[in-house]
Amino acid sequence: MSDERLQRLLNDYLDDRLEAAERKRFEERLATDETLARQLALAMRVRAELRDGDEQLSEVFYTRTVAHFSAAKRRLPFGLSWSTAGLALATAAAVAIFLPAVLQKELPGMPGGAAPIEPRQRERAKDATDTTRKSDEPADEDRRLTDPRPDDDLGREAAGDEGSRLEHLVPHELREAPTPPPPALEEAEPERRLVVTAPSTRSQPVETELEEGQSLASGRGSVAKQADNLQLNAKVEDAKRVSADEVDKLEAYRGVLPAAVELQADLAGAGEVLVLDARDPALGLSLGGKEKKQSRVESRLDAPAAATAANRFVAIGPRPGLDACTALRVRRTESAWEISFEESGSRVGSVSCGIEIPGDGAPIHFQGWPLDE
Amino acid sequence: MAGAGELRRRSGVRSEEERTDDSTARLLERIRQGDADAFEQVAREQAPRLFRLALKLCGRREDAEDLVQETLVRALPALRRFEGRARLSTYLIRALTNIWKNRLRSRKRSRLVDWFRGKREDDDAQDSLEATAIDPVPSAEQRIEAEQRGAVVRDAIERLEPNRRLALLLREVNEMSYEEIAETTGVAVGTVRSRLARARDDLRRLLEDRL
Repeated sequence: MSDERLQRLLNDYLDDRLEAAERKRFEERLATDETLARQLALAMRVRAELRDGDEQLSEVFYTRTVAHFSAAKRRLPFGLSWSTAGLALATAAAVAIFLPAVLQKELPGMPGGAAPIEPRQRERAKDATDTTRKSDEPADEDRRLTDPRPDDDLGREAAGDEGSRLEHLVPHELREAPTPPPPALEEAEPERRLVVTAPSTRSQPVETELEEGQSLASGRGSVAKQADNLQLNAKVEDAKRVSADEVDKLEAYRGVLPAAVELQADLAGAGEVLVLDARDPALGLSLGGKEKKQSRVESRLDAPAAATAANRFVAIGPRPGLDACTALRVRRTESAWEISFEESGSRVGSVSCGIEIPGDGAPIHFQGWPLDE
Repeated sequence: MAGAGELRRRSGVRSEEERTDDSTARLLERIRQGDADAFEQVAREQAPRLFRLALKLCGRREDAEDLVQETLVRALPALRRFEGRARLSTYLIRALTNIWKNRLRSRKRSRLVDWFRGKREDDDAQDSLEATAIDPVPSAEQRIEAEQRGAVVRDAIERLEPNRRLALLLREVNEMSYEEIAETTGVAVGTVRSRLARARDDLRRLLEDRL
C-alpha cells in the first residue's frame, strides 16, 4: 500500500470516515505497522491537546461586548456620525438665529416681523429670502452636489449598495475619510460628468458615466458597474470637481484596500491579465442552501496598455464593512497573470470584486493569498 | 405516511427545537433594531463556542476575546435570515474565521510580498510552513519554555498555513464534520479533506521529534 494511501486512510480513520470493513483492515495494519501506530498516536495527542482546556469568557467580556454593540447601534442612520449631526444642528440653529436679523436689515422698518407687511415690502422680503436661500442653501439641483446625505445613500441603496445601511458596522479604521468641504456654488457646472474607465472582458474598456453629485462630487459614495461579471467598485475618497476630459482614467480614484495582502509584482512582461473571479452571487451567507452554488467567473483582460510599467492593477477589496472578495491566488503563467478571488467576508452586504488601473506609474499591487491546493 | 414532525405540525404541536428557533429569530430581529438585551442573550449563547475556536486560532486570550467581540457585534445585526440555530452557529464561525483571516493577512503582508517575489506557488508545501510562521526562531530559553506539551502544539499549530490551520481547528476543536467545514469555509468537501490531510502531515513533521 502506498504511503499516500496510508495517510489518507489514517486521516479517514481519525475522522471516522471509514466503512466498517475498511476500518477493520486498517486496525489490523495498525497492529503491525509501528510507524503508522506512532503517527496515529501523535495525531490523537494533538487532538487531545486541542480539545483540552476549559477557558471561559469573563463577565467583563460580555459587558464590554454589549457596550460595544450599543455604541455601534447608537450611531445615526446613513452613516452620520454624531459630530456631523451636531455640526448640522449647529448650522441650522445659526441660520434660525441670524435669519431674522438679516431680514430685519433688509426691511429696516419692520419691527421684528410683527407688523403687517405692505405689498411692496412683502415683495422685497420675498426677494431677500430668496437671496438668503441662494447664498446659504443650495437649490434642489445643487444640493445633490454639495450634500451627500441622505439622497446619495438612498440612491446607493436603490442601486443595490448595502454599504450605507450597514455603515454602523464599519470598523473605525475602515471608515471613510472625512467628507471634503463642498465646492462653492459659483464653481458648480451641472452638466459636467465624470467618466470612469473599467477593465472588462472586452478589448475595449467599459465606460461608466457618472453624473456629478451622484456621489463623486460629494467626495463619497461608490461606483458600481457590472460589466461582463467583472465589477468595478471603487471607493471615492478624494473626488475632485473636474471635467470629463480631465478624468479619462481612474486618476481621481483610490481603491479601498483595507487590511489587504498586497503582493507586489511587475506586470511589465505580461501580455494580458487573466482575472478569475469566484464569487457567490447570493447575498448573505447562503444560509438557506438554495444560493449555495458558487459561480466561478473567468474574465480575461486584454490589456496591452497594462503591460507597461506605467500602469498598475489593484485588486479592489471589499468596501468598508465588507470583508469580502479577497484574492485567493495570484499566479503568473507564461502569458498572463491569474488572480482568483473568493468571498471571504462576514457577508454583511453585497459582494463586489474588481480591479482598477490607475496610470500613475506606481508599483503594481495585487491583493492575494496563496492557495494550498 | 406523515412523519412525526409533519404530524406535530398538523396537530399544532411544535417541537422544542422549533420553539427555540422562533425565540432566536425574534431575538435576532430585536438585535437588528438595536436591542442590547437581545444581543446579550444571543451573545452569551454563541460566544463560548466561538471563543474556543478563536483561542486556538489566535493563541492569545486577549486577541481571541477581541476577535469574538468583533464577530458578534458585526455579524449578528447583519444576519438577514434565520434558519435554525445550527445555521446561525455556522454563520458566526464563518464570520469569525473571515475576520481572523483578514487580520492575519494584514499582519503578514510583507512576508507574502517576499513569498510572491521569490517563489512560485509550486513551492508551497514546505514554504507555507515557513512563510506563515509568525514568530522568529525561538531562543534557547523560549525553547525550554515551549517544551511544555501544550505550548509545543500551539506553536506548531501557529506555523500551519492558515487555511490548513482553520480546517484542522474546525475539525478538532469544534468537532465539525467535513461537510460542515466545507460550508463554513466555502470550499468543496474534497478541499477540506486535502487541507486536513496536509495540516496533519505538516504537524507530524513539526511535532514528531518534539512530542
